[in-house]
Amino acid sequence: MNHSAVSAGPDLNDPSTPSPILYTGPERLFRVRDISLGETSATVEMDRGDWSSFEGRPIGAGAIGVLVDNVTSYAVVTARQPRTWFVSTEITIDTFPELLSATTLRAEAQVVHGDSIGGFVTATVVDQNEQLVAVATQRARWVPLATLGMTLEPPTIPDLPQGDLLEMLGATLRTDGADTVLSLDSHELLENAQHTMKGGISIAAADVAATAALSVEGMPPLATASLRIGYTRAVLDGNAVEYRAVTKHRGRSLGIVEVTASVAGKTTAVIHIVANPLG
Amino acid sequence: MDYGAWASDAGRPIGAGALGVLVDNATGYGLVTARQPGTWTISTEITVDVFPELLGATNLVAESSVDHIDAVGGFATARISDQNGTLVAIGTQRCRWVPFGHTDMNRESSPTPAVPTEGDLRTLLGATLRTDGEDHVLSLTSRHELENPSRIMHGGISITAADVVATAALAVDGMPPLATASLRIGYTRAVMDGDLVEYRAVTKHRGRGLGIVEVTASVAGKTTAIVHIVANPLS
Repeated sequence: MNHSAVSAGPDLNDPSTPSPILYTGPERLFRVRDISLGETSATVEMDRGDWSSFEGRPIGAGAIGVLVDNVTSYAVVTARQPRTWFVSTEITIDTFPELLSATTLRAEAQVVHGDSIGGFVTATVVDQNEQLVAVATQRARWVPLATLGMTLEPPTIPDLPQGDLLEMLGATLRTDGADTVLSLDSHELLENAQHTMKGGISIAAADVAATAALSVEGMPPLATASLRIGYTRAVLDGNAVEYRAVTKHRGRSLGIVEVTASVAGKTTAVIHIVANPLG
Repeated sequence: MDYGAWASDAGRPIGAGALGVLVDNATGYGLVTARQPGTWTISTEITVDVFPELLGATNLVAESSVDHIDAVGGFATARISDQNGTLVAIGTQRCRWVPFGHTDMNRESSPTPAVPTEGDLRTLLGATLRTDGEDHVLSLTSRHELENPSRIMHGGISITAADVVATAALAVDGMPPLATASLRIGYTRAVMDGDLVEYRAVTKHRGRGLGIVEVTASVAGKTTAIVHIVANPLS
């Protein structure tokens, strides 16, 4: 699961205490900036660029995974119960074609449901022209604050790698029979302040693997329209993660891919991706 | 819609699945208003996210709004509230515009058979459930009362069927019960009148606090829909 990052200091046992705002490796890597909090909401911005691509193809949902993870996490934590923090159980992203030509993005998230078990947040993402380019959700579960090891030190962020998403993630891609497999080792740039891999990173990795899996010679190109990820287990610092993309359907106008993320054979996330024709 | 004891299967409450037709209708009617000239709509994806209060609801109201349209299709969101105005679910639909003639709205309807009005969802669907190795398989034959005016199986019916089989797949002796929290269906092919549909549920993860099931619907071996379901503990 995606354990969101918080720092020691303020009394986070009290749900009215705002979450500390942290910019760790994933935020730097994915050009996320200007995080601000409301009472039951959050706003986060980011810059898109040439990096939001894979082998020359623009990547939409995957490139905004960290943005969506951030904005929905900062919002959902406002609804927590006393002495709890949260883990993400699901994140969804539905994108519209305008996303692929956006340069700057602003995401706003709002809590729409909370109870003693967890919370649910919806988010909208608009481009530099205020055009809606994506909608997103996160479902989270409250966990005892004491179990998360909240003593944190400010992260030291190494130099950012250049290139497209695959290169930014430090990932490699191969085929294994009919499957496409993306592999990466979790490291500081991909992790939150608790040294677990940020949930948004798995969104990016899964989208790249699915995009590669759906790239078939002689068939019209498809782009991810929607992505839903369920987190089953945390990815720890240094873990080697495999994202195995299995194409469930590949027509001329619709593709469906299931990606299973695993560490040493244990599933860490299951991702369901639907792709539509470009434009 | 009215919500009640029928929204169950083998004594287990079925939330998202029971809302399938409601969400399909609420979002579908919304999207039709936004269609391009000379077109109609086909659903490519529907999602349903539910909250625990749904299981205590008696009456539901779904209100939809169109969030996005372009030359290819549209996207709508529905909010479903119970008799107290409490938000109990959110649904979405992504659709594609197709030439109007592509959807035959004037096909002659077959005579309406007696519609089962008593029983749980499996009974209402006229479905049977079996296990096949580790998989659970629900089978049903499309018939008049499961179809839209074009005599194609209503998209919401596949949501119901998928949730019933996923819920059965996640019912494991000695493990805490789980209930579907979210469901996302992608439609790949229409189900025609008389088609025998199999919904095969494969459990991808079954922990004490989370279950993930993938359901593949098929007719004669050809995939008609793929459904991704995430379940949480019953609160």
